Amino acid sequence: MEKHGRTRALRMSLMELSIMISIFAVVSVLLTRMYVEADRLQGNATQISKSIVLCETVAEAIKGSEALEPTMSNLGFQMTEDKAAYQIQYDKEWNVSLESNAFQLRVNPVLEERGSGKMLTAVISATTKAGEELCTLTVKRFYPETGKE
Amino acid sequence: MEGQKQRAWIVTFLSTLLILAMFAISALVLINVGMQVYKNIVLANHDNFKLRTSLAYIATKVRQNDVEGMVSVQEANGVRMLVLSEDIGGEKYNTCIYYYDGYLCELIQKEGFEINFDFGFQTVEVNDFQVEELTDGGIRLIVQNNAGVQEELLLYPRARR
Repeated sequence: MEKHGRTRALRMSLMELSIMISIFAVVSVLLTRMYVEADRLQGNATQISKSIVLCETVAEAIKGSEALEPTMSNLGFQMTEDKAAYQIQYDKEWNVSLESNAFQLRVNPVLEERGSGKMLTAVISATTKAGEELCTLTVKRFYPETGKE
Repeated sequence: MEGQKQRAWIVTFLSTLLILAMFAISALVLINVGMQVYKNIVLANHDNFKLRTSLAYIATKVRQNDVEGMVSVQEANGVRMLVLSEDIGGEKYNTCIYYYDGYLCELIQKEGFEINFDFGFQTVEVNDFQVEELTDGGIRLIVQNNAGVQEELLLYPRARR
């Protein structure tokens, strides 16, 4: 009789444990998703940080340039097929690469006549392979007609 | 009959123990994964912070001192440094930014005095810092954090164009 009671008690605790583990399983799935998302966001933050430094470098180079084209080619940029922009591709480790285009830096220049010279407005943008934008920077540079600025 | 009951009891008991053990192991695994993710995030944030902060700090210093002839790259005792000069009360003072003993350091001192790198103020802990003068007037800054990640920033101060 006593043994029968003990078995019933054990079965009850087995059921309680099963319910508890089911709840735990649901919670752990949610937590795991959260961890994965946090990890992905951290990865994004690193890429954004890297892309900002690269965009800043390009912006500085444009600001210090006397002409856009040689500066872009010095930085390793190539003109796009439609000749409307300059671009450079990077692999996953942000090394310049012709094959891989895990990341891409693009410079869209617009030149406007302004009185005694030309005003260059360049939009520098960094994107992922999937087209997700990491950062965008706009830089302006005035090129006077004669002599230096 | 009695033996069968006993066997059933043992099976139930072992199942309960097994489930409890599974629960404990899963909880430990989940906690461990959480800890790893948290650790990765904190470390990556810290590394990013060091790279970005050190470069932003130097870029800001250069822009603050962007006066002709006041931004230069010099070498003393084999240590390459960025030197930002300024006139204070008719005397020339140099702010030297260099890598020393695992830190990016800043040292302000009157021109003409011998540099003692130990006296520099430690700003950011980095693994390496290099500064180069480019032929087109630019300055290339390269910083490496303790994780070995390297970041490079080009600066074109107006004073050097």
